[in-house]
Amino acid sequence: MSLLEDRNAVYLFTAYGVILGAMTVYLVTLWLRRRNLDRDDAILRQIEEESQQDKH
Amino acid sequence: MEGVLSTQASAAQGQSRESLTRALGVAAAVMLAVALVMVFVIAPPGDVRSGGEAQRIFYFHLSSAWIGFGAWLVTAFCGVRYLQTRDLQWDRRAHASAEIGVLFITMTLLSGMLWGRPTWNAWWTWDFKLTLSALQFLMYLAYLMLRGGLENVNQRARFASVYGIVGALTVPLNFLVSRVLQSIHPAVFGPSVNAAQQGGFGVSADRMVILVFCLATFTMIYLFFFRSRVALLEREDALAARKAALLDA
Repeated sequence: MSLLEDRNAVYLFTAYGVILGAMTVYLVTLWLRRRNLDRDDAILRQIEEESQQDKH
Repeated sequence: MEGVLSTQASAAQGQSRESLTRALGVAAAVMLAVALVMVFVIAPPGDVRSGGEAQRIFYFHLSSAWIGFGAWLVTAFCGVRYLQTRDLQWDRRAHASAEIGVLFITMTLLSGMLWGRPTWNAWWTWDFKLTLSALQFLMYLAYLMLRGGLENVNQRARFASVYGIVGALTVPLNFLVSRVLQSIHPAVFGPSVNAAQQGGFGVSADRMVILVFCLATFTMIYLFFFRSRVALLEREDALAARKAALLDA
């Protein structure tokens, strides 16, 4: 009997789907957090430069 | 001149750390692909008692548990180091490890339920081992909630360190519980009082090779996530300090 014909294969594929899906979601959250930090960093740098210019 | 050189050295160090993290990510992805081939193509199917084809869940279930529980130990170790040194870098590492631990323990519980249904004919039982694992999941969440509820950085780090150390005591307890108490959950490694009732849950040599490879793969994934998360936490703290400096000026 092949893997796909086994009546328990649905549990197998669901389990691996859950595991790989959870890791992918975490990877995406890491990427989103990094992108938000990049944006914050750029805004902050702009404000810092403006405040430096104001001082001069 | 010295300041410029120091900034350049720091940037070069940051780039080299990022390259290493990226290399870990690539290695983890390749190993994950190989592990999936091993699990689905090379590994022999289990017998009816262990769920037939569903027995293949075992490889990633145990690997998730390895990281889910191991991450607590890393959190506790970093907590001890923080209390010794008061260096916030250790607190960031503890935080990163706990966050990743939540992810892996969630995967452990869900994959365990999906394996339990065809083998035990139940999604869940209030067995000691399972209950303790669910408790550990809740303790991880409480750790992150504790961190989220405290504003003072040093107070947060101190409280979280102590909580992390106390929480890690459940890890050896979880390892022992299915070996010394009556349990439906099989013990893969080492002797167990339940071995006879479980029909001797031994892992054959060919399965052991695949299992060890899966454990190594998950360790690599953990290292990649860990380094990435610590780097983000460092940046978050650096940005918060710059914001505070701007507001003070």
